[in-house]
Amino acid sequence: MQLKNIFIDGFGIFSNKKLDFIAGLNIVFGNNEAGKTTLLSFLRSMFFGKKGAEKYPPLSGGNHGGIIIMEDSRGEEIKIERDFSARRYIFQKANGTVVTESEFSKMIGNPTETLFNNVFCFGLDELADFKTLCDEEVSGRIYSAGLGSTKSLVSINGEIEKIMESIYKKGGRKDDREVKRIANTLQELEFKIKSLKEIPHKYNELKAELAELEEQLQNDEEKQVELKKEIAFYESLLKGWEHWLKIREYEEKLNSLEKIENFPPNGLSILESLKSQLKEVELEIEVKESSFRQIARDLESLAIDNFILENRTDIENLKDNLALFNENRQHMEQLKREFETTCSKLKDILHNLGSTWDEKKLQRADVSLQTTAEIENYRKRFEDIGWQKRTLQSTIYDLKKEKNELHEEIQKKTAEKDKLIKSLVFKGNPEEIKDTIYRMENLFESKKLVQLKNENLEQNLKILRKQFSEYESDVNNFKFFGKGVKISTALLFATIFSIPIYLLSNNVFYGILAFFSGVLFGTATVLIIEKIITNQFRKDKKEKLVRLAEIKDIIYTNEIELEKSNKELAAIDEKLGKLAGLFFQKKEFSDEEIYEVKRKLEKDISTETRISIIDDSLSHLEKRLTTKKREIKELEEKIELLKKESYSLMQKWQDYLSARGLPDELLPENMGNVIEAVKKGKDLLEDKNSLEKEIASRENSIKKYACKVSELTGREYKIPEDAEQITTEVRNLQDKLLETTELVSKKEQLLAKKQSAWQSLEKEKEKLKKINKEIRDLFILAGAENEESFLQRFEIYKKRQLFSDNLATHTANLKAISQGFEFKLYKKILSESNLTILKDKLEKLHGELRGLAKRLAENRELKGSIITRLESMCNDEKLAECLFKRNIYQEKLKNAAKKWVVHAMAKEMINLAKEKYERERQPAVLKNASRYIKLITDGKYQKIFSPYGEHVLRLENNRGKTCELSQLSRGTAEQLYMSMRYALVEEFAKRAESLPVIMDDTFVNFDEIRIKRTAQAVHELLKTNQVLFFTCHRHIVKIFKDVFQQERIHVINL
Amino acid sequence: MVDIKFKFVHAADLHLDSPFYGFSAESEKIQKILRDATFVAFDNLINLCIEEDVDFLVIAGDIYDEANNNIRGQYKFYEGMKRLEQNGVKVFVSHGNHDHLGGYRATIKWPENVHFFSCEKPQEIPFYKNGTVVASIHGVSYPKRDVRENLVCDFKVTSQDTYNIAVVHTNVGGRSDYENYAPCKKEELLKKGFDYWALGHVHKHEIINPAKPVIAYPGNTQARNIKETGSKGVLLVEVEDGNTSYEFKETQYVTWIELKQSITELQSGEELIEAILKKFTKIRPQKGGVIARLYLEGRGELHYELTKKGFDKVLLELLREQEEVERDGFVWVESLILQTGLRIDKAKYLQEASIVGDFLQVAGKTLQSEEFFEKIKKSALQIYEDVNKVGRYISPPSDEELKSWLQEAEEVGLQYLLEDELDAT
Repeated sequence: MQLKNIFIDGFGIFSNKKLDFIAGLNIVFGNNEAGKTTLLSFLRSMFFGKKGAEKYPPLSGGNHGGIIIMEDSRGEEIKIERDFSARRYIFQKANGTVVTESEFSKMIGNPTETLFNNVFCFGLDELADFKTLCDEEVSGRIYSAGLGSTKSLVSINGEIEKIMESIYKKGGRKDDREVKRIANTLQELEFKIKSLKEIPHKYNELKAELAELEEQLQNDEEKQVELKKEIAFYESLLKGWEHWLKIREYEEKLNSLEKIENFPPNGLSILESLKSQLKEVELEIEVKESSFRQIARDLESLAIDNFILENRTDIENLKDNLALFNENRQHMEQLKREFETTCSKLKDILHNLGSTWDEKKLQRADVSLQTTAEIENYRKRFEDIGWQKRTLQSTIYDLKKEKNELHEEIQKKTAEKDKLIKSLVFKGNPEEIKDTIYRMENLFESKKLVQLKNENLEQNLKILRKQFSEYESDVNNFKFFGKGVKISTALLFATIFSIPIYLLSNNVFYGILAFFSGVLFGTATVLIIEKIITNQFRKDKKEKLVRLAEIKDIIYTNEIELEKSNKELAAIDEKLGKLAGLFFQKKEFSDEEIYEVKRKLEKDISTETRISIIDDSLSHLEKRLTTKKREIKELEEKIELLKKESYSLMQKWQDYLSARGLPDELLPENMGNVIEAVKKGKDLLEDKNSLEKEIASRENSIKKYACKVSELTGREYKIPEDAEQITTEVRNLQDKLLETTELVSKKEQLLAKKQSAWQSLEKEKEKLKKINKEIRDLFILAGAENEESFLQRFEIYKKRQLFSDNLATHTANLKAISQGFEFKLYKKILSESNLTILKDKLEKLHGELRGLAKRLAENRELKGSIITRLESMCNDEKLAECLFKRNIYQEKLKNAAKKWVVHAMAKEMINLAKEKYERERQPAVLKNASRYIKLITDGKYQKIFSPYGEHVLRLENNRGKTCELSQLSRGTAEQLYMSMRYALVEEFAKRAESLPVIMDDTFVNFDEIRIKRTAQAVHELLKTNQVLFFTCHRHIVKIFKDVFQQERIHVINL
Repeated sequence: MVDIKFKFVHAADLHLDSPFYGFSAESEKIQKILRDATFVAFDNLINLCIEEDVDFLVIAGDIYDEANNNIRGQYKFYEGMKRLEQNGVKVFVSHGNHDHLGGYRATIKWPENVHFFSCEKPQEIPFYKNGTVVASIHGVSYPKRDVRENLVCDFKVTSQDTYNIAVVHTNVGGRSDYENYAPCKKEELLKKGFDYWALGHVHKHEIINPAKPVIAYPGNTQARNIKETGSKGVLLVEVEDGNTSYEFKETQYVTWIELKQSITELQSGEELIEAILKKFTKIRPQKGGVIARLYLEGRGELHYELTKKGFDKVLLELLREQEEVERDGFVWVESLILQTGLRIDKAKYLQEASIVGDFLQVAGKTLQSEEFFEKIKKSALQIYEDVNKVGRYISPPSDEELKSWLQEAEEVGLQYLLEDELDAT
């Protein structure tokens, strides 16, 4: 970082002052009070603020402040502008970016103001007083120069200690560091744990207490049960007292009555009921005897007709058949009429059939289904033969027609064929013709190819010849500049040369000389050019001649080829002529003639093809004609056979008729009518016979009926006259029978009634006996002799019963009340006690129970609370929680302690490293400083060093002798400090932007030689830093100028 | 031997209601879940006995921690025993160092199905099934916490006709990571003629001898600190014709898992979160939850963010926020351990003649040289000498532990020394 310009607005004596600086050494020269120290202070204040600025208020006007422009190692400008009165400042880059003060500080390696004032910007005061360098910070810097950091080991130590102290520090009452905080928590936890650990012992104590309590509770509960039982006993005694008194009363009453242990149960009511039953039975017997007598009388008064009863079946039959009898009578006449009609119809049929037919023959005639079927069969066969015959005849007709058609077509085709044969030109063998055509085609093809080849060859030859002639002319015409050209060129040159020379010199001789020399020059030039070009073309010509020879060869080859081709063409033409000659008697043929021959040959071949097609179809037609003829013949034979079959069938039919006695002339198709008539006749004959039978049977039945009626009435009847009378008689008989039957049934009923009346009477009498016996038995059972004593005993018995019932009721009540206690004991205590004793006892027991219940309730409550406490102890997580927390805090403590230990060790190791470093390696700063002192003192002093453990500097001279600072002269001591500062500056430059080094007349105590050498050292320093040197000594300026030889030096006169 | 088939469960070290260790999160929700975890695991054990219809349950000690005067634990145990009684499961209990008979006991009337072995001599209790003795259960309890004598000596098989089970709380082979209570040797157990040694005390499940006799530690039913990672449960044993088969059954509600995540390849906080969540999906359980200790390791850009910019706290909060611990299947980050480092070339700095180089050399030497270590240790462990604030609550770290801290100290120191450089990048 270098200072470029400064502008002082107002600072001390300066106002509106501008200064420019170079990158090298800037000497600010001025006499005393010229403002050198003011400028120095201005620069310090500009870097570090207003601290020093207060001493320099603007005396010549302007604002208190100014601007400095710096440039960093990359050439980037940075502007620092300060207004001390307004306490405003700005750090700004050239591009306008504002940087903070700390950023800027970092940029220049974080120098503190002290460091800056002692190392970078110092006057004689600071230089001579090395205290400033012994300052802890500066000395730290000396070592930290080997650290690769701008941070000092001191600050590192400080930082580590800070961390350690934040964790732990020994002692301290108001310690709230991490470890202490954790320790406090741990202490609290320990305390809590200790108290929580008491709880388990309390648990066991409580458990023991609980066990005791439970035992007492159990005892009390048992006691309570006992007491309750006793109270219940006495309460029940008290409750049963009344019953007990009644029991005793009824026992006494019973003892005073006669003992009747048994008396029939309900004896009295039984006796009463038996008595009433007796009365009822006696009354009943009386009624039943009178009704019995009445029935006997009714029976005697009945009269019955026995004849009617005996013929009961016959009369009923007559009644049933009366309707039939009348029906037969009426039907008879109708039957007789039907009979006559049938007889006359039969006669007619017989007459129609013929004289040979009578009833007997009719009966015999066979008109069964079989016969009818046979006749039908004959009919069908006749019909079938007739049909076949007709079909065959029609087929023959069709065939004959087709035969004629075929015949006509054959004739037509034959005529067509003859016409084609006549049209043939060569009439040669078709195979031969075909072969000739094929060969001709091949030859024509070959000819075409050869002709094409010839054309190509001729074309090629034409091109080649043209090329050849072009090359040839090229080669022959080759000539460069003709003589004319050469001469005219020479003349042209001559003229160009001579005219200006002549014009310039105005001398003809010169002109002529120039002309000739121009000619010579021109000629020479042309010749030289021609020579060069000719050489080139000669080479070309040679190549072209080779090419020419090649073309010639190709032309020759092509010409031979063409000749060969033409010969081939002639051979083909000859062959074609020969082929045409086979069919035409001619020696020479033109191409057209050969084509004509070929076309005619092709036509013949097509005609031949058509003829052969017609031949094929003719042979086919003839085959078909033959087939037809054969078919017609076969069918005619079949018709003959059918005729024969028809005749033989007619023979058979006639035989069949005669065998059945039928006339010969009958044809099967007429047989249907005859059979029909015979069938009808047969039916009529049957009807007639059945009518005859029915008439006879009905007459017989009528006669039988009349006889029976006569038997019953004793009268004779004639039929049909008395038919109505018979009907009346039969009805009378029927009425009589009905009357008699009713009487008989009435008698039977009366008899049954009589029997039952008798039985019922007997039953009543039995009942009477039984009741009397029961009454006697009842008396015996009651121990009575009669009804009176029976009633007396009954009264006694009833009383006893009442007493013992009451006794039982009270006893039962008492027992119910005393349930759960021993009854005997119960009664014993009752018999021994009275009401007062019982009541007193009960009162006493109740008192005891109340006391017990109270104690129990109290103890139960206590038990409950103990159990609750125990349960809460069992589930209490507090101890576990605290133990867990204690572990956690112990772990935290471990971690904190570890962190402390780690940092302590780090710190210790850094210190050890520092010791080692100081012991084993002198810092680079000292090395560099040694270099500078060696340079300044011209090797008189060799080395600056700092002994281990001591923060002092020593100097070693060229004889290896060590000098303490106090032993040095002022000038040498200052040179040592100067060297140290330069070395530090150099070290800083390695790690941050180098700052300008500003010195205020620091060489005043140096001799001239040492000043010169120091100037060399400054020159060395310029490698890294810009230098501003303030002085009021001209000789020093001069020495610098000598040493620097005007290079990188800039003197500013204030 | 009687050939009736029977089944039993072998459990130990239930530590009901005893707190989790090495846990520093303050969330009340998760504390409640962890406090109840041993009970959930116990319920799982009881449910297993009922569902599997076992004949009996043997418990080889440490049901609860007597030192905690724990009623709740004992009471919950009682409730479990009641459930087993209702389901006809017998229980045989040997007490161990944490629930020894000399300690506090809540007065509880135990149901008849439970038998507690006495502390004088090993007791033998026959187990009947269908009227026949099918197994003989031998056991002994601790009379006091500190039992240093060999309890196994007095175990004797009286009848070879039955299946003999020995229940004892012991340290077989004197494991150094467990208190050496009732020590004995495997060879001794092999010789005694028992069929099954149901052991307790060691919290990690282990089958010491697979068969004839089976010698097994089921491990504890619920892990209680980060050292107890992996599945926790009991053994379900089935005996048929004198042959023993067994199966490990999980009971734990929460599982402890150590998760490691390198930051080396990661460029941003988002990438880191994504990588961690990806790991979560792999370990997320079906039931219960996972308590994860998340180790961030490796050298990378994110180290600086995590240590200096407080991203570690944000990350932890973020990871916790997105979990619903009240539901099954949560993954809860118990703590986030930074073992990360700056993304620097340590070798390069080591060779540098700078204070950083010297620092790294000092750190290296401290780890290697006893003298240096002692020097550092002396000043570093001062904090533990303060009895009131620290010493009475925690003990100083072991040398081994301290050395691991030293590495962290190295990173811390480096970070300070290189801070500006890092700020600049």
